[in-house]
Amino acid sequence: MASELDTLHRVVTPENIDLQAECAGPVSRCLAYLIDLGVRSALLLLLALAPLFLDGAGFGLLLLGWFLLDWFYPVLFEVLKDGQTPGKRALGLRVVHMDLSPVGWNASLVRNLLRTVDFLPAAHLLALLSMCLTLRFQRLGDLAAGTLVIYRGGVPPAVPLPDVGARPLPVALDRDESVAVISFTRRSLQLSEERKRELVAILEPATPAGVSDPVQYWQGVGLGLMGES
Amino acid sequence: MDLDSLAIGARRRSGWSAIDLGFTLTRQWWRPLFLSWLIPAAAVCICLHLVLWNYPEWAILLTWWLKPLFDRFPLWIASRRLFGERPGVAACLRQWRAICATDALPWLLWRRLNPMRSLVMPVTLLEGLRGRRREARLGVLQRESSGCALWLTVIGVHLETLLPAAVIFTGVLLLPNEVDIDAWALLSGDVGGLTYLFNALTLLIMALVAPFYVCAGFTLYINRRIELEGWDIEVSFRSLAARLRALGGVTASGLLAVALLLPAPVRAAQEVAADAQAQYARQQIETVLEGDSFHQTTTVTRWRYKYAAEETQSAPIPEWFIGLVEWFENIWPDWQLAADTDLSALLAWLLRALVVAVLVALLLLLALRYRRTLLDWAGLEKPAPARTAAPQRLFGMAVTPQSLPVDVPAQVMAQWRGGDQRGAVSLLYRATLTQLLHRCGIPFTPDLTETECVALVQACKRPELGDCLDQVTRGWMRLAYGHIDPGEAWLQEQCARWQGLFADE
Repeated sequence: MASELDTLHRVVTPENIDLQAECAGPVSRCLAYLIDLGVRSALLLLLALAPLFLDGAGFGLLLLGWFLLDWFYPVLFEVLKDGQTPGKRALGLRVVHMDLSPVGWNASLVRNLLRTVDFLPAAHLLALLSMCLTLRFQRLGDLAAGTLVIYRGGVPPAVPLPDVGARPLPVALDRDESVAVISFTRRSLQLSEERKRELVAILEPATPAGVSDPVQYWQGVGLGLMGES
Repeated sequence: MDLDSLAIGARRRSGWSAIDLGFTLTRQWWRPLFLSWLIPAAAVCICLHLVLWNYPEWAILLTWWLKPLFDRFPLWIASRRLFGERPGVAACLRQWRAICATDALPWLLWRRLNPMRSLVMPVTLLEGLRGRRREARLGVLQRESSGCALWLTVIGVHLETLLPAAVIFTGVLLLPNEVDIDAWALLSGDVGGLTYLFNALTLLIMALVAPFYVCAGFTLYINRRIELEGWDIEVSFRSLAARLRALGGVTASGLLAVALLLPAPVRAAQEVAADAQAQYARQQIETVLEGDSFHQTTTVTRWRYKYAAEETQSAPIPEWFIGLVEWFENIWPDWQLAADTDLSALLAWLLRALVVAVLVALLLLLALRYRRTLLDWAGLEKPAPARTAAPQRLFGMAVTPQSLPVDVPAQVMAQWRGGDQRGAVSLLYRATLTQLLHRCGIPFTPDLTETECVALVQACKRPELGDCLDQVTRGWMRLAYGHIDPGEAWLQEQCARWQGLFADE
């Protein structure tokens, strides 16, 4: 099973806690970048009105704003807003260190200063190539700073659950197996009736003898695992 | 469909993550996917150039229009490799008739510009559905992923347009200044032969982008199926069933029976006992955490000037401040605004002041952040840690001056000669600690070990004290823990030294 292809990045802490995150690839990151570009351009356009009213002072204001927006817009958002610029927030992305800790000033500055290199020769071609070629979709700035863009996992939304009454576990289950049983219960409205019977038939060695409706039985086990009644 | 040989991790993903998985697959199977697209496309493109020899622009446009046909080859390979087969390029190309025949006309006519092509094509090609059933199936599949498929197409189109431009731009960048080329003629394609070069470049870029596009659409489609058919559940259930079978029929049923037949009251009693233990442990932990070992309360008493606030108000401006203002006037002579300045000049002044303020604030912030390092550089000593109340007991021995006999050395020797060797050496050790604590002000705390006490004394400015405690401690630890007799001569020597150090006052 180790050779399964996936986009996961795994980190095991010294306390033997297995952390994993989904690396984000070029398409979602391109879109996030475009949103950020839009926000930045709008702000700059507002600033560009300043010279019309304020002559020299306005022009100074424009240059200062341009400088700040160009170099510090991503850095400030990434460090102060939990690794998310507005574009990344919209796409559910987040910048973290390779060990999955929140990104700090050093790493954020390095990865954003190197955007200049990633842009070369035109239209972020190097960044794109680098993202397609590296295992964790890192552009050159990410490689230099030791950072990673991941999807921010959220809490799954509440779904209507089958009303069958919770049951105790028939056998001890490990973590993945418990998750699968819970998932079976949560998705019972989505799966077709035949498919549900097919899935439960696999569990035949674990189903106690004398259960009349195995589908309802395993849904009940899932409810029990979730702490429902 | 055999999920045991599935090449990807079976789990639920968001649409974006499914696209990324498609990119991972493309990277993994790059050669067959790329070649299976490029070989047919290049063959067709060359034929078109031969037929339309006078209109190379039309030839490349037609090649572009035929892309849905070429996309089927990488899709065919990816769909088989996903389930563990390893078909190569040759095997794929041998099937070209079957691959091209299915549902070709709609894709080349009214579905050519469908923005969801990458997601929809697997449905018609791999499932072979038609008509109303196809529509119903698409409705279910597209409910969640159509947005992602749409954006995938948008990004893909832009890439295909931008990449040739980027490559050409790179070439122009790398040309030396001495070479004078007519960029406009190059772009408008008037130069003979360059059109063919440009067409070749376009075809190559299309071949580079297509496998990513096709695979990403394919994984979007697979992702919806994983979700709708519970592939992840099936894989986990299968491994669970296999695990139970591996346990062996007898053991498994035995375990099952035990788990099911264990009477409820027994289980309840076990749980109650475990609960009570946990509660007791929690209480213990809280008691220890509330105790003195984890807290240190200090009372600090000092004098403070009562009228400090009034004093500063009437105080003259300090010298350094005047100096600072003068320096400031030097670097910014016209900082004072004239009375008749207009609005924009005022704003410019404010902006400049703001920049200066930000700069000064940054410097101050840096100084504050690195104040420890700066003080170290300046050679200033760190403030001494606050004194705490002297402890009453160390190592379980009383260390107050009241607890000592009047003439310590005499008492020590008397006990030694009376046969109480441990009592004698411990009294000497206790007396040394007490004197160091109360007369020399060494800040012993109850958490220190014997050797840490020695190190603390050796760190202070009087080496003879450290030496004394070192000797006594060694002797005491040898006797107490190692049962090694230090000898009367050693004890007499220590007593004499103690007398010299502490007893004269």
